Amino acid sequence: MKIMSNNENMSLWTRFIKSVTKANELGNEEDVMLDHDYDGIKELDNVLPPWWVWGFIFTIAISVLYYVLIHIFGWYGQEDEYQAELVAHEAKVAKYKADHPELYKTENLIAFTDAANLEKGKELFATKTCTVCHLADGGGSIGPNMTDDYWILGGGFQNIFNTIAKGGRPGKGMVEWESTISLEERQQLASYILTLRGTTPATPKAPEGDLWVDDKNTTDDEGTSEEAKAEEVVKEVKEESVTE
Amino acid sequence: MEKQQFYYDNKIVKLFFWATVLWGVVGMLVGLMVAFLFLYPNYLTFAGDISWLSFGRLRPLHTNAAIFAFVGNGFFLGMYYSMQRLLKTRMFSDFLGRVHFWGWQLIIVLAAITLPLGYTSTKEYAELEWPIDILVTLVWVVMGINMIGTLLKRRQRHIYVAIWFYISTFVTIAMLYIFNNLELPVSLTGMKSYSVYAGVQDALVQWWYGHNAVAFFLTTPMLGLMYYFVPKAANRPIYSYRLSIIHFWTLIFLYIWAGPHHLLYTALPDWAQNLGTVFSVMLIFPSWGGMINGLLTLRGAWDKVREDPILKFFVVAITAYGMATFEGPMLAFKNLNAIAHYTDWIVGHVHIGTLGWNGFIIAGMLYWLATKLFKTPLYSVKLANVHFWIGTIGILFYSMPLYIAGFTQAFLWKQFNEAGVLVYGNFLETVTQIIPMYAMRAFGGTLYFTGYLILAYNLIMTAKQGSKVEDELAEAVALKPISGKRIKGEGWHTWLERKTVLFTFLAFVAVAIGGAVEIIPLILVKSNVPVIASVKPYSPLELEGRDIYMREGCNNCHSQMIRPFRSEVERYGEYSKVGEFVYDHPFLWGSRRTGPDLHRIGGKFNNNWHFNHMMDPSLTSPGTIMPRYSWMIKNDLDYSTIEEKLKTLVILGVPYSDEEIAGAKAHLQAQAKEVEAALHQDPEYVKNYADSNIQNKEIVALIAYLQRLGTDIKAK
Repeated sequence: MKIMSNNENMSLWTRFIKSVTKANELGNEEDVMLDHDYDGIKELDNVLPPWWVWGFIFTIAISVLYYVLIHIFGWYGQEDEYQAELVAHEAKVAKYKADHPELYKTENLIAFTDAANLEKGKELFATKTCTVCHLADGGGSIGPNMTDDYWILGGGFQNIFNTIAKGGRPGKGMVEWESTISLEERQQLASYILTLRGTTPATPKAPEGDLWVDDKNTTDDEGTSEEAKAEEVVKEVKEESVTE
Repeated sequence: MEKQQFYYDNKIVKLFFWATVLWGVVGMLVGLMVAFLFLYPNYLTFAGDISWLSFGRLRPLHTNAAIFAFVGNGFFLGMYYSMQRLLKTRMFSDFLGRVHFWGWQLIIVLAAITLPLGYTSTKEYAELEWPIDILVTLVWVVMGINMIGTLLKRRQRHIYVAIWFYISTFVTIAMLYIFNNLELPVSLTGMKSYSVYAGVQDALVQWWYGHNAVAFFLTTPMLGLMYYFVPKAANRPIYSYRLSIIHFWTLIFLYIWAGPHHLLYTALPDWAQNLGTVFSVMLIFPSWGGMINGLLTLRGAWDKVREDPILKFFVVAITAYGMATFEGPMLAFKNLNAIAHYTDWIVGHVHIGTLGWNGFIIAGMLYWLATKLFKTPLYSVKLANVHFWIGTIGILFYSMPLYIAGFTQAFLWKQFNEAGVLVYGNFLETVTQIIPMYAMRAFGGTLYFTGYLILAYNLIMTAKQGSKVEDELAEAVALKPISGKRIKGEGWHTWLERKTVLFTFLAFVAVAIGGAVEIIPLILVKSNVPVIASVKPYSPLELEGRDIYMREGCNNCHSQMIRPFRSEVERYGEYSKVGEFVYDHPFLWGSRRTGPDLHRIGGKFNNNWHFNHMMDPSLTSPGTIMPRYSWMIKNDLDYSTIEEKLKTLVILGVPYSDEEIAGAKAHLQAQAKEVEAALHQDPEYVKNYADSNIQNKEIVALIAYLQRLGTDIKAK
């Protein structure tokens, strides 16, 4: 065979290419020309390129192996994969919770009263799309009026804070915002919402829920102390995140 | 032996030639129109008042036009030209050829009318409703008779590889189209029908079809064209006859099995999903067999490729084919699919195939045929070169941004912070990030479309300067009858190449096996779909709402299939179970999340939210690219056929009782009142809509359906 002649003169690469393609040399087409003639189209009968044959066999072997391992030896199942992901995820979150207990202690949080945080709360009220349902002035539309004394899921800082986090009753529209609005942002938002009380929106929605009476006696001195406490908490949180 | 004289029918070729050019322009134009909807969601519908120009209705028009009108006519064009010459005979029947041509154009026109009007079965690339399905089947059979008739009167003893591919296209598309479109009309006087399959079975049948529409409408016919036009244009022999044989049979046999890779991580049982994966992997080399046989046919002609734009088109087309058929199997691995599925990655992948492989092989063929049909050189080789370069750059600008967009969005969807909270909990944030990619995609599409307009101009000018298309005189010797058995020294495949009916039958057997093995057990073996007792059929109002959801093509942007990933369960709720879809005729799992998944949308928002959102999505979701659906608030709900709809579903196995059917209208009205009453909690609504008779409008049905979605297993 002519193909194999001059073998010594070929570079390693050329020899490699020759061995994986086994292509007939261009000048020697007559060797593999068939007597086919389809509207002038001729056909050669070059051998199957070895790289192609081995590639094909390889993919078949991989496929058989894949299927056998999964369905006979039970190496993989979609549900198992999900459960494993859940476990890994929960372990990670649990560790994070353990390392950052302060981020999860919401019961001691209290409302901000300082201008900067309330301003931020007002900004979030718009950017986090609260205004879509409660309107910019808090008068309510899709969602309830935030300026009156009636609350479906309880008024006061702690309840509002929780409702933002966990959402409302099913089918009533309030979404769980925990996954998109951070703890500090929720604190700012709830604080801002408290300041809407008693304002006069353009088109106030009729009261919904129950009349909320704050048990706590919020006198002026307590107000300042609450403010101080709130700032302390924020400071703590911030310091934590810095040390992180 | 005496030579017989006869004429090749060039007139039918000319008809398909211009149809291909025309529908190419139309199909790509509609594609471009919808590409711009991602940037300006309401520019076509004028504030949401023109329902038939909305994305959900135009997207199926684009896909159907590109696949069936453009590539379809392109295939018929090449087939009618090459078959006559490869078989040395005129087509079997001029009349059937005309019926085929005009019938197909009628189908396209009907599709272009009915899809924008909202008549759709929602099953991708099979959206046409039942009367048109019947017409498609009839025209396809006409084509088949004409093909087989031509085979039988041939003057060439053996059939060439191009014709093997044409035959496999005919038999497989017939099988796929019929079984995927089995649907029960609600009435014989209306367009509405329900798929006979429900839920997971419908999904599997659909993607058995959808995947193989790609295989047998966009691949095998194009390979057939490649085997004729590439050696013709390059004047080179086919590289390897035995490679043709091996890759043809393995390709058609293996392709059919790979459909389930469109349903990875869905509620489809594992055994079927994994079959989709492994058969996709095994497909790489059969696909590449076609690629190398095409490219190596150009061995010794590469100097011509530099000069000849036609060969350039072919080279890029075959290369794009090779790329897409490698990428496809990679995407069929579950770990890569977990990233790419539901994202724009898939859209980019598909367009490498359609713009690169289909668009360019047809473009090369059109240029080549123009010189033959009009007996003149091309009007401008330079313009053809311009088309080639602008088209190639267009493909890159189209696809690359979508790869980036897909990868980016998948990454954003899955990103958790260290506290285990989704960083992009608001789906919209993952959309607004990729808008620049959509702009680049639209730019790439504009380039590609411009290239195609240049082609149209060039071909029109070529036709003008050339001579009138006339039937071409040819002569050949009639076949002398020989033994039906193998002759001494005759290879078995060579023998098979002269037994055309047997060949057709074997091709059918090869393509029937995969689907049968996957679909039949899924339908018959009960354990594949564990029953969930709390899952109940839709109420009449919800069913009407579901029909509106289908009419608007919501499934084109929203999935209803939450995959078992932590990131999806966190975002959407409990992952979707196979038993939840048993009454879904058809399934509405979707394939792309331009918007969020809706399977657990029920109960998430209140009715007013949905009302405002449909009226103008940017009211509730500022920055959204969802268009307005304000006509739902204006249109009266037509529930005149609700009893027939329920009765149709009863035949398909949905357990509505006779009382429920008799009381359907009353039940529907009562539920509509309830939905409307709940809207009154919003003073804005009361002020603007209290007197607008909303309980009789379409919006109420849609809200009822959305509020029902995914709630059957929530109640536990």
